[in-house]
Amino acid sequence: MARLDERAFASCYQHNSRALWSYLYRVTGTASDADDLVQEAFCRLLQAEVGGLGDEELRRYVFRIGSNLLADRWRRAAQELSWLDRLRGTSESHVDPEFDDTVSREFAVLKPRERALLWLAYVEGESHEDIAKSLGLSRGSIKVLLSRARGRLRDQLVAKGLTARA
Amino acid sequence: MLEWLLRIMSADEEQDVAAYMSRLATASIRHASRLPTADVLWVKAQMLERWEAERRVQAPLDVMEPFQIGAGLVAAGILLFWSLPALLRVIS
Repeated sequence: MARLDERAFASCYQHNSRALWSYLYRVTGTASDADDLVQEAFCRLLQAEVGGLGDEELRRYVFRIGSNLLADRWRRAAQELSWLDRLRGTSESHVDPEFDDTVSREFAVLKPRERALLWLAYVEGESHEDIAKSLGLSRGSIKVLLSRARGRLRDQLVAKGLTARA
Repeated sequence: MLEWLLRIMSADEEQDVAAYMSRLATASIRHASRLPTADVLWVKAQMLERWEAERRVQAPLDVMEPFQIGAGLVAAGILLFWSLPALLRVIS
């Protein structure tokens, strides 16, 4: 399989960059981080042998690269935090996202990994297997993690009175 | 009975979360993305790849550089030690 040529890349970028940015922004909570990650994901896409893939497969592929980059960030952040925690003797693992709209306040309360799980499952409609590959998790754990994330989000919605069924 | 109740509750949860997520996906975001155009990103990716290739070629040279300096210093020391008696004779 060959690499993408310039025209195929431009088309893929035009169709998917905004969707990927929205996903990464909703998960990281920071617009500049989402900008960086989208650029890095598409740069990596160009180095991959994906010339024969269709539009939908390319979309999944670039989302997978973006999710892998997110997972790498979490791993690095966790390592740095564990060192900082040992030095300080404190735990400061939660960073408030900078979401600026009212719809996403309940979403911001969730952990980044839970946000990624819910977005990939409900917005991108990915299968458990694809989500597991994207986030570097085992396939068996996705159902449990997704159910937990869904439960936490619903608790938030109920607490804010955004759903009638309590 | 309990299983049925759990299934009903789970279905409600699924519906609520799905509805919320579709609302979230279409909600406008005030932060503007500062993404470059496809042309700019294409050039950036080509440059990054070229730099990476150059770095790979350069890597063995970078690794050997301290050894080169060390070998040079050792050679200079040996030369000095070897010519020291002659130098001292010339000075005295």
